[in-house]
Amino acid sequence: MRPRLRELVQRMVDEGALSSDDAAALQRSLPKAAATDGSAPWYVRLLSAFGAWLAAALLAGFFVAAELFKHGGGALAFGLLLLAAACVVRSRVRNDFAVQAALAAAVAGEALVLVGADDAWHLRDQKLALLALALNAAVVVALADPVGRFLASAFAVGCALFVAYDERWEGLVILVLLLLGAGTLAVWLAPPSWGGARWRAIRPPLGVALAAGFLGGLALILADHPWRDRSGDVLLTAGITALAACLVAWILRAHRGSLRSEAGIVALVGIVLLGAVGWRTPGIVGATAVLALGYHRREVVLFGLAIAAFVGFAGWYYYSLELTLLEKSGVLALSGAVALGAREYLRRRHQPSQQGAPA
Amino acid sequence: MVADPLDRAATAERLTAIAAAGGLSDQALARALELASESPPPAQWRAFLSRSLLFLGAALMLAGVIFFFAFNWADLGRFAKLALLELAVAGAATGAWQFGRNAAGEAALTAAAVLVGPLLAVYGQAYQTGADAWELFAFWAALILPWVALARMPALWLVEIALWNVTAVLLWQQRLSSRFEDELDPVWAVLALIDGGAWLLGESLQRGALRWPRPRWPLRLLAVAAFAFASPRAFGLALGIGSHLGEQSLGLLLLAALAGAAYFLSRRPERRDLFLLAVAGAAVLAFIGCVAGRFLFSAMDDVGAVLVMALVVLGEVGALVAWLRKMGSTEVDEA
Repeated sequence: MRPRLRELVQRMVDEGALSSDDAAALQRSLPKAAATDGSAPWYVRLLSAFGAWLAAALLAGFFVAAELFKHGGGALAFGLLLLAAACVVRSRVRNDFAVQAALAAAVAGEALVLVGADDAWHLRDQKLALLALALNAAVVVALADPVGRFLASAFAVGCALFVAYDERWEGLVILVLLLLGAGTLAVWLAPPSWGGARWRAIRPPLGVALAAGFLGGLALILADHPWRDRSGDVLLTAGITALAACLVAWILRAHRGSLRSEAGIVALVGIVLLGAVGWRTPGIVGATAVLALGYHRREVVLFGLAIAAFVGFAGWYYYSLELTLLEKSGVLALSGAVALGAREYLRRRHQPSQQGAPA
Repeated sequence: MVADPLDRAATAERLTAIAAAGGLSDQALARALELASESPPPAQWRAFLSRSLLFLGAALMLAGVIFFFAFNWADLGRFAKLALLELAVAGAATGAWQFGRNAAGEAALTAAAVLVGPLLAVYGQAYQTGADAWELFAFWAALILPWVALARMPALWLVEIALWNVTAVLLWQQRLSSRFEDELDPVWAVLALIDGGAWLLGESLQRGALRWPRPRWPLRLLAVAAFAFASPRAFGLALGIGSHLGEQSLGLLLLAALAGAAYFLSRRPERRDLFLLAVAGAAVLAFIGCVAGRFLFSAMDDVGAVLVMALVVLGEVGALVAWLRKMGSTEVDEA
């Protein structure tokens, strides 16, 4: 999905952002840049995250099993020290073993802080979750590692969802989910060059964690919660549909279009229809929005996450329809016909001679 | 051949590293970051929407047809049911022929191949053939094989291989398992062989004159399935759980063969697939971790073993990531 360096350099030369001398200098800098380039495919990062988490669980298990800390205060202080040391070490090392050790130490340090705080102050679940949220928000800023930042962001998002669900108040769940959705859009739609180097490093792991939390939270509400009467689903779906409409407007603006153009009206009608038909499964319109966002920003992880979520939500939607198999078959076939009809409209409306025209 | 660094994806981290190395000014970096995540042009958006709607529409229609026949509507006679399905298969196949080799043609042929299954099921139901479920899947796989072979669609080959997998499982459960002792369950090895064999055959075809299949995701999916079927028995052997030593040894042998194949296929940088190396490396290190864990927890007290195990995991994952980075530095990445 992402352009190659070669294409990028050529475009910059073509538009005058780089001279041919600059392009040659860029090419000469590549071997030196490779030494500090932290890029890695998603599956390498996933392995690294899993390894850090597993090693941290074992380390924390060791500290607890060895009964090194008689009181919560000791665990809390040692955890904070371990976390701070991990952040300092990670900012200074590049060796993969040291990086892995720093990540595991950071996660184990966090676990010790939370266990210690719970032991020292006897916090209720919600207060502990809020403390974890605040601690992880600080870690996202301080721990200069994409995997560590993703783990911390995901933990913070998980804590926010936990607090909302534990409160057993539908309004708070809806608010948190809408905030996660809005946060996902805000992080990914902000100009990539905006902010300093630290923000540019925080943005991708934070954005992926927010999107994963948003979609995960939408999956959580599908489970039966006795304190929910599902009446809030309309409000939630309407809110997500509104966010999706904002995304459409943003994408159109990037292509010098507007919501009042034909493409804008068609996209808006499509989004509203999707929200109206699937109002009991807000994840459908949510996953569609994340899918469009991933394609818009050429983010393969976001894109893959959204496809998996969309398939899951669509499957749930049809499964949960309170209809006979015969009626469901009719609904499925009709939905399929609508999708194929929309494709045919798109094909006829944009014959090859019109391709390349602004949307 | 070492891949040209300019052929690597323009990620934000890479561009920032280039700027830090003096290859881009602050202003040029800002522009490069904008261009690297710029929205695709309208024509690409239309193509993306068109393919997505086609896939979604075809999948929903197919699900609708399957649900319709699963309902087993009593008011509809067996001839009517068979005629409807035959018409649907014929219509989809004709559509595939008419549309030709494009997305619509491929979707129509996939629909025709999938609809053969419900047709056989309705036939078996209508005439009470007494056939076992494995026979239905075997016939299904056999009947669509000519289409699959002629179409040369990787996704359709995956459907065919999935049918072989289901046939093997059902054949074992419905026919063969009763002839052997209770705890023997070799079907996972057969599945690893089917999927691993298909993966390696695909690799040899892709690296040969045919240069098919493209893209690589179907091969990766087959390799992951093969590792997933082979690994659990090998892990059981390492941990000393489970009773069938022969089965577990076979699992280890298959795991070693698959990992060796992944490494052998990646020995030349221009043909290296980092994803497969990551899967193979993770499976091998998980096996080693299981062996180390078993040894440590039997030789030391639990507290010490937990600490040493944490260090083992750190060492293993650190080594794997370092190795993948080294191997990846000469691969044309797909970020």
